[in-house]
Amino acid sequence: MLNHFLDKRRNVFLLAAFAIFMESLTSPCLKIGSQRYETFSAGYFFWFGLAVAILAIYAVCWQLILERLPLTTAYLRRGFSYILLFVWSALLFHETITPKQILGIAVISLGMVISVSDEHGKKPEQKPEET
Amino acid sequence: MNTSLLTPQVCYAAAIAGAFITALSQILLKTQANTTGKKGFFSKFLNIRVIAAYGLLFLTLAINQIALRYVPLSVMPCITATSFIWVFLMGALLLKEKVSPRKILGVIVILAGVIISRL
Repeated sequence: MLNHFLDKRRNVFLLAAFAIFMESLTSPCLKIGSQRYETFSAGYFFWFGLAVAILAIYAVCWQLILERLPLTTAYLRRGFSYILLFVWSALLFHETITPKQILGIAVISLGMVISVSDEHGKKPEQKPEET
Repeated sequence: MNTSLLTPQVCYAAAIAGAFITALSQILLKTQANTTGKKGFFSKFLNIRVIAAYGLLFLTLAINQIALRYVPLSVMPCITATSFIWVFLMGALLLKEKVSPRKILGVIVILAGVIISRL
């Protein structure tokens, strides 16, 4: 059933979007733990555990995606989570985001789009079966 | 716990190490995904390379939490973006993935972005 769902390329991208959103939440969890609690205290490990749980959901999704896209493409697409990370850093940690950082991340994202656009409209390559 | 060792410099170094370890774990996952074929759902997740890859991710997570004590969250993207470059290089050199001119251009632009945000 799952394989059937993921036969549609659009569904693979939907799953990727969900995975990216989940992954963007892990670093904020880690930062809350390490900034607001003493290192290696109970609170520190609580937020670490939460980050691990979120990442576990992400990891299962990502493993399914990796089997359907070439690694370089799949990995570059993940970079969109960096934009979400900026939103979290401004909202949760009141960090000042400089124009250079915005320009830098825009250029990084452009680099990702350039790589990703290479695959656009192409059918996924048939992977050779292991003998 | 004595945290005097955790200087901002140590934290930045930890973040960079974390990015490289992330790239390594992605390569491990890909080598496994390439050989999976039509085996069952659970065999995809329960084998030595996948477990090692997730072990590395777990390690990266612990390293990143230490790093984030001093590294601002908004600076992490340009440090973790360096792992894209490692994955591209290892994908091309070790896994012999197809390297198109566009992908090379993409990686160069990503590198430029990292440099711009850290100037």
